[in-house]
Amino acid sequence: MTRRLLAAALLAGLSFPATAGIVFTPHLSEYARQPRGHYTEFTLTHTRIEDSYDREGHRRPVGAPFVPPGERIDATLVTFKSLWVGNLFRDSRVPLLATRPQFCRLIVSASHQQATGAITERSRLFGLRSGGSGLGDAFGLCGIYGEEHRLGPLQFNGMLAATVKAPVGRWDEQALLNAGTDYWSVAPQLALHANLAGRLFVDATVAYQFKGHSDRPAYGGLTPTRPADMRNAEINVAWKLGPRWYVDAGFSYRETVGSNVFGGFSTRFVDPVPPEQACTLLNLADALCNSANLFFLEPQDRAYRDQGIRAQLVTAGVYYVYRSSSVLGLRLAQPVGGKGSQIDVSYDVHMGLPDLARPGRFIPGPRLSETTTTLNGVQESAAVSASPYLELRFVHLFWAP
Amino acid sequence: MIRVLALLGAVALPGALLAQGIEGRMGRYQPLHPGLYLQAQVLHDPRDQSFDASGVRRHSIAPGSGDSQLPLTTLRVDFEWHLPLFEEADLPFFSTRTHRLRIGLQQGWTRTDGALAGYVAAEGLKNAGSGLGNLELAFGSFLVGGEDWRSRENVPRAVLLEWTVVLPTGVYERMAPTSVGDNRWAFGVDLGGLLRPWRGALLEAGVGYRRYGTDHEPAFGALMPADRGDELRYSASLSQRLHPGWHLALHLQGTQAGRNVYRDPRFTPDSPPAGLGAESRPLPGEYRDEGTRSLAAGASLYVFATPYWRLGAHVEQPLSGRSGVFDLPHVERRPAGCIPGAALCSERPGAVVRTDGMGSARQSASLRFGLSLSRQFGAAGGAGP
Repeated sequence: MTRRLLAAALLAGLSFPATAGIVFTPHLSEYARQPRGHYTEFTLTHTRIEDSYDREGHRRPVGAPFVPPGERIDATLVTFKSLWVGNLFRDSRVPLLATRPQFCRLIVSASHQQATGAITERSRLFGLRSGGSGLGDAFGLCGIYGEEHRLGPLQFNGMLAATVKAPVGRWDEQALLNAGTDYWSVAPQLALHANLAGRLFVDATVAYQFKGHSDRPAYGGLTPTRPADMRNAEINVAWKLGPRWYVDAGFSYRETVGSNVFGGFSTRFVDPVPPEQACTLLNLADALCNSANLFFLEPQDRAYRDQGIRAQLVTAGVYYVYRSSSVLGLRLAQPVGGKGSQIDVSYDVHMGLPDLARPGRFIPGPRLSETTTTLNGVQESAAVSASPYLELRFVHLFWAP
Repeated sequence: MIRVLALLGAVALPGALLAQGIEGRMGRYQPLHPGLYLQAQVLHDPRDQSFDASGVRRHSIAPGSGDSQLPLTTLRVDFEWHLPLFEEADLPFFSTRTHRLRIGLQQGWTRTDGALAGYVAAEGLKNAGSGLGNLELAFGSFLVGGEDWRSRENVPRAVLLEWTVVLPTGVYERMAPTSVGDNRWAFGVDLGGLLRPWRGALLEAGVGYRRYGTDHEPAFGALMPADRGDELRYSASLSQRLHPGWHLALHLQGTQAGRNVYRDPRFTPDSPPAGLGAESRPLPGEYRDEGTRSLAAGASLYVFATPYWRLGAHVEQPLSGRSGVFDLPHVERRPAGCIPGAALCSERPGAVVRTDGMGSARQSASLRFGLSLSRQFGAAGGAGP
């Protein structure tokens, strides 16, 4: 009975960052050997990102310094997960596999992300949009469980898996936020589950994400074209309060290996910039920004590198197990440290000249100077949220083994 | 027989997915045997007619833009669990009855046709946003009729109180006049009940209230409402078994919504003409329509292919309604395309134009129809008693 209860509670998942500020973290007995069967899971995660980390690791209002404090990004992620556990090689003599059950899992997601007014207005200056909704990327995962070992009251097993992420999600090159990611990734993972006297449950994992390239950077090239590989380490400790109730606490760490590369930077104002904006938005010297009626800014065509990203997160949650088939869970995740992506980009500043062919309009004129500004990398492989998120989870065992 | 009735109760009316939000589905307040119920539906609304702000039926979905159509087809799959909760906790009232948990997924296809499509193409906008739709989550408790679920044979009367959240995961194309999603959260509560007035009949009636979140980036030049008015829904339906396995249902449903708010519209298909070398632009500001309403009647025919599988055909005709329209003042900018603040760029007040609100502000007057397929997993699923 206990195994079945737990089985419904455990659906293995990797620690991929999924969408704005939301990370998949392990749950109660996530890596335990499961009874054969088919499990499904629905997860709803919501966050209001009001703060993010800069490259020095400082927490600051989202969008700073380009939008005033108080703005936010709302993000909601729903995931559907289907897990099969069995042994295709049970009656064979294939080494390792004949005695160890295998599992495969498919994860699909959908999300909604929306920024508030000032961020949206700011995006519109560049001909960009804030939000992205729709179908997310698909994850396929397969692996094997290790042998189950017992040392007195201690019971433990290992797990080896690999996850492939297919970038099938909706990808809008104009959007600040997207449901998809536009690059493939492969992540081998090693995990351990331990159970002490049926009361204390520990799940820990390390993983490495090999990331592909993105040929269509979004939001004016502020998503990396070559996102850096990432390494993850996570641990979750759960305690059984009673036959139906569990609580847990966890810690998650992830960091990039090297720098993200931004090879498609193209952020430019739709319209030429009047002097008052040139002074404040572009940090031009007074003498320069008053030297012309309007300015054009042309991004210099070259690749930029950030200093990588890092995120640390703690989680706490509670589980309710209903019969042998369903589990309801609630989890709160709080970032406790991190480092976000920022790049110093260079623009050529051109004087705006009247377009003689189109009265009232302007064209770029002589180059006046060069200016450098620091911009934030955006989306899943560059931005690091400093705001908490809430996760509601429902697991259902459709067809009992 | 219990299973047949249970499946009957899980039927969702097709219009529940359409833009107008039909509420009159048969069996919607019926407590079912604990288990999982699955439904799939395909629904189509041609959206080639609408009710204008005066309630007059027009042969266009957006009359101010010429004859235009925004056809919408949706595929929806609902997972619905009926289950007791916290039985061992002995929570007063809560632990003694069954509850209902529902997850609704959608996929939609829509496009812009007619005069509006011409405007969209000419301005370099997007035609439509098709794809994944919004996601609906609901949790309800049977205040009456949910007790004694282990032994009951039938439920003569029931009352359901249900809370709903709509997640805006649907595709929302910000440059298009129509999208499957609508980029705002929705929260609702519904209270309804059922009676069995005579053999083989089911009479149901209910009311609901919806409150909507803010769309911070309303689509199509912000002609979609930034803030959608609160909505009151009501419905009544009567179903009758005609023959073993065959059921006919008739329903009436309506909505009454408060004023929609439009924030800083940036363009409109019906901009007033400007002088030579000038252009008309909407004056930024906050505008309100007078709210929307709708009333529709429909019929459904259900056939039980087996005790587990049921097919349904549905049709619904809007009877009356009102769309959201607002007065939008313009400014005349000269020369056309110039940048405000730049030398030689001047602005002066222009005409005020009656403008069609888009999205939820439109009330379709078109006959809509659909098919449905339902499956009960209650006995096979692990959640059974």
